[in-house]
Amino acid sequence: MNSIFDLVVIGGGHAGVEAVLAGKRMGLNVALITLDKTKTGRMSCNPAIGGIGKTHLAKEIDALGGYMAEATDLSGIQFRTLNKKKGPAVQATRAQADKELYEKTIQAKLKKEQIDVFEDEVIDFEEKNCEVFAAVGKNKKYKAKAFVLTTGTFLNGAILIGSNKREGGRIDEKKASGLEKFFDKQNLMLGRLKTGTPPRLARETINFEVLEEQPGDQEVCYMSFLENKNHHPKQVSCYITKTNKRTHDIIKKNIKKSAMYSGLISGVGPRYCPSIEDKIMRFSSKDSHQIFVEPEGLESNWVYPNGISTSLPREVQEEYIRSIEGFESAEILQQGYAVEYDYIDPRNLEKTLRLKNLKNLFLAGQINGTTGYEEAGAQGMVAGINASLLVQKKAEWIPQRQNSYMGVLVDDLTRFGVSEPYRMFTSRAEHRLVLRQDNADERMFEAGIHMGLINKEREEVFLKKQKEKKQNLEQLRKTKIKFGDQIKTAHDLCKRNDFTMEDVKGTLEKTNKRFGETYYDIRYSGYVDKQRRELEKMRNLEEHDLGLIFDYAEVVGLSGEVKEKLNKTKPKNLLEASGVEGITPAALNVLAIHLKKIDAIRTS
Amino acid sequence: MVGKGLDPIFAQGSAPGQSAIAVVRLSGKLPDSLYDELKIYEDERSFFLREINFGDFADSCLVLNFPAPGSYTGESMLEIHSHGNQLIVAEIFRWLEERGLREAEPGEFSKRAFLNNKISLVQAEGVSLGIEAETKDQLVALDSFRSGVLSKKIENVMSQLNGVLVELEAQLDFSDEEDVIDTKSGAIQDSLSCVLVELADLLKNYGPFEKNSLKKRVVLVGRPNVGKSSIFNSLLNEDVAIVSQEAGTTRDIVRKVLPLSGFEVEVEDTAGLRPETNDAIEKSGMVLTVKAAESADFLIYVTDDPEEIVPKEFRDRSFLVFNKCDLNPAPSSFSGLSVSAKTGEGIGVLLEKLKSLATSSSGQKLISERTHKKLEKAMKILSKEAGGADFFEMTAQNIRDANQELNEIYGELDNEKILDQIFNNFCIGK
Ligand SMILES: Cc1cc2nc3c(=O)[nH]c(=O)nc-3n(C[C@H](O)[C@H](O)[C@H](O)COP(=O)(O)OP(=O)(O)OC[C@H]3O[C@@H](n4cnc5c(N)ncnc54)[C@H](O)[C@@H]3O)c2cc1C
Repeated sequence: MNSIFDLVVIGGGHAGVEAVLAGKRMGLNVALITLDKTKTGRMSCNPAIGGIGKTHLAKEIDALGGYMAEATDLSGIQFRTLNKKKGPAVQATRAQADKELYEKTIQAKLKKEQIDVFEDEVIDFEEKNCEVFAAVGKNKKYKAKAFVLTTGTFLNGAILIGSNKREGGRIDEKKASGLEKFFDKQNLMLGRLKTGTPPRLARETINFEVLEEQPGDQEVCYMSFLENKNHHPKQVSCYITKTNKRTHDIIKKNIKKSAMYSGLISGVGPRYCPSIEDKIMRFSSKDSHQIFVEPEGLESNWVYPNGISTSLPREVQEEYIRSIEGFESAEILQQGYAVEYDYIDPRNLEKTLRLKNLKNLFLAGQINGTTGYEEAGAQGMVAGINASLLVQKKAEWIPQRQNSYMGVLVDDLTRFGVSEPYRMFTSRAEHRLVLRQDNADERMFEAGIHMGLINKEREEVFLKKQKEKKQNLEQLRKTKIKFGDQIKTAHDLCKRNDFTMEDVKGTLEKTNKRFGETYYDIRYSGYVDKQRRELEKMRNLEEHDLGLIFDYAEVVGLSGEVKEKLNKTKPKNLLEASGVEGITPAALNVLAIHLKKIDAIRTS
Repeated sequence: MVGKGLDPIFAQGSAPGQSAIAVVRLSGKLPDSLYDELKIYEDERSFFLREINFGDFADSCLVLNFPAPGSYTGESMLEIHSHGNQLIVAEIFRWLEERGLREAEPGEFSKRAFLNNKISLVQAEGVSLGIEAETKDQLVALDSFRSGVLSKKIENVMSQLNGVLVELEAQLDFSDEEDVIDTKSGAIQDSLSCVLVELADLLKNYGPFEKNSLKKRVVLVGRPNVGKSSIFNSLLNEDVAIVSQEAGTTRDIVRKVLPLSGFEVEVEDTAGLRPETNDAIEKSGMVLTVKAAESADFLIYVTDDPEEIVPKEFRDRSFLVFNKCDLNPAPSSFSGLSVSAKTGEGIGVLLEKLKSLATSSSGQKLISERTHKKLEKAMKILSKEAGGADFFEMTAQNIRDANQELNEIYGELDNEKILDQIFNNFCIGK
């Protein structure tokens, strides 16, 4: 029997999970197809959620009712705030997760939401008139009105260790294939990217005595806006050690044996996540690199040595590991490896993450050239929501750069494509100062409520927080401070550099725990205005319909290259045109003037 | 056969006023009846002598035909060269309006030229400066705008800013990485200060081009009743300022443009300065005088007493003029110029002096107002004080904002408003 659904999501990774849950929240009849049910929600690489830029995405997912942050709170065994010495826009809560607990939590959630999960491998799509009507699994066909595909590192995945190359999407997991033929038929070229992971060590074989301990924050912090609704398990420490000259010598001596240096790998790896081989070869002047020793779980004896991912052969891995302080007699439980996989140039996607030439197939996660759980989850959210809106015949939702990292993510991907696995950084956001992790709920609330993604509980938590902030605001407004013969309010002081946040707080009679957020809202209010103006400008651009231009060759003042690009992409309006790669503001001006010219001719 | 382009427009291409010939340019979809009437083939690129009948009278005109697209605007164009009389030009305008043409908006010709890919935006801006540049140094400034001397300087500033930005961003996005060592905010502030010095230099050496900034301002100062107003009137050769025996007659500043064969200076007559007055209006007049003197390009200090010691605030900047030399001539030791407003003696020499002033270079290069504004804005943004826990983010934001301003100078413009601004500053019909 073939099943019929509203929405079918393929791939039970971080992208797929958020996509299917979003569809469910929006009231659709959904299904998830994945290779191995027991590995749904698995953390393929490091056991952590969050990081500068990444946390911002996790919080936005949460603000739209997603589950990543809650699962992190329920399985996080260490929480730390990064960039504590800087302002709130670049601070980020990072959590060390109990890997097994994390995936169990995700799987329990899917069960609780009564989502149909099928164990199968999707190898093809059936399509007619640019519309997909079924995903073809090895076991059966899955019919639906819309599809979200999230193959992660599995599509034609290859595992590389030393000179050994074998098929697989993750260590000991098989690859997925067949879909490359479908994409080929759609004239979509696939590219190759790669990433790597370090060897895992047995806890009992590490000498922690000699390592520097790195405990979590004293103050309890949460990933989800629901805060203490989800209790953290027991909290533990991480440790720090470092490579030394001997480690480097071992690696240099064996460099030819690395899959990465032997020419076995064709895919491009992330520059910001280099393997230890890369670090040593590229930065030869450094004689030591830091390693964070992270537990993979409370019960588990697996330890993740962060900072030494590798594709050297097993015996070399063993040798260099044991040259490191504290690891002298460490046992390797799982070898480090590199994985190479297929991805699609994301410039083939609309900002809703729908494939441009198919009406109802959306792509999310690593398949779009990104790396990271949060990046995957955020895309899962955008794709899941828009696939659902499509099923509901409602208008699409596109997050904007001006008010979310999700917006920055989809805009960057679809406009510029990728040249290496894409990861989020705060420096990618022009409006960084106002895109804080703590105000993601405010930034997403309107859209979330509107699309039915936010339940009563979340709404109440949100409104309570708003009320608390308002109380602080009132206090700030009514507290008067004398400066010589001038009277200022505490509110005025928030923008001054000669008063710290603590100074301002000290002038108030009473404050609550939202004081910092209130303070920075005021401090950055100028940037909020700027952000609003830009959004308005964009709306203006949207009103310029480009439908009347049939051939851009006619538009004088554009370079040949730009003309060609516009003819290829056929943007609907100036806003879309502004998103086409290589379109400068001047080119937009030329288009605007050309529209006026057409108008003048038509009305004359 | 009709012309090619947008709706037909016309504008005077030569400077208004008396001249040997006046040029009126036409562009756009010119009506075929017009070509018929002028007996010109639309696609014949040539010139023709035509007697145009304006009804009441006729004038013998030279008509030049520039078929599209080989014309300045890229549209069909005609140029009518008539005798240089504003009345004739007015007749031509009326005559053209009767034939369905309209007078062009400011900058419309160049806008069309830009639309038709005839000129680039930077060129358009350069051209607009070129039309209005009258003194030599402005033309030099244009040169540096076109040749890219300025753009190199701006690029240099931007690349320095980017250097600081890179440092900041590393601190923000990679603070948890081993390789990123804590930079102190003081070090960032120091690098920024260096860039600020360079920007300030740019702003000092490149002044904004405004129509009025072309005219040098000459201010007449001196004690009351020494004859400033009389000299003013005789320089202009008309009675503009009120002249009386009574000291303190002039209380407001009287301004007038003085044409000097091709150049113009603005001459300002001011209230005389004397410490002993109690009259409130006269006092406030004196305040205006001091202000006008401060910002003047050139001062003429008028006196009727050759022994008078010029107040030190004016001494270095003024040209000393002794008036009323018809009554008693200045001693030979007098270093200034002797004139008589009454007889006109010495006034010619003074005019020559003003003329050399009008054509002299101020040493400051000119750039368009838009460019200058952007530089100023970038400077302002970068001078914003940043501090507190968010020093790094705030500074990074400021640099990004400043860079955006600088980007918009040479690179591309951000919205149509800017474009309109440029074209509005444009002399119509070139
Ligand atoms: C070796 C390795 C190293 C990594 N290193 C880093 C790193 O350094 N930094 C970092 O940020 N991230 C790293 N990651 C990436 C991180 O794991 C991914 O970015 C993230 O998991 C991507 O999420 P996803 O949902 O796109 O895909 P995945 O988490 O890979 O999930 C894909 C899911 O789809 C299923 N699936 C695939 N194809 C099919 C099919 N045809 N039919 C049915 N089911 C299918 C799979 O079973 C799987 O459940 C690494 C991953 C690996 C494997």
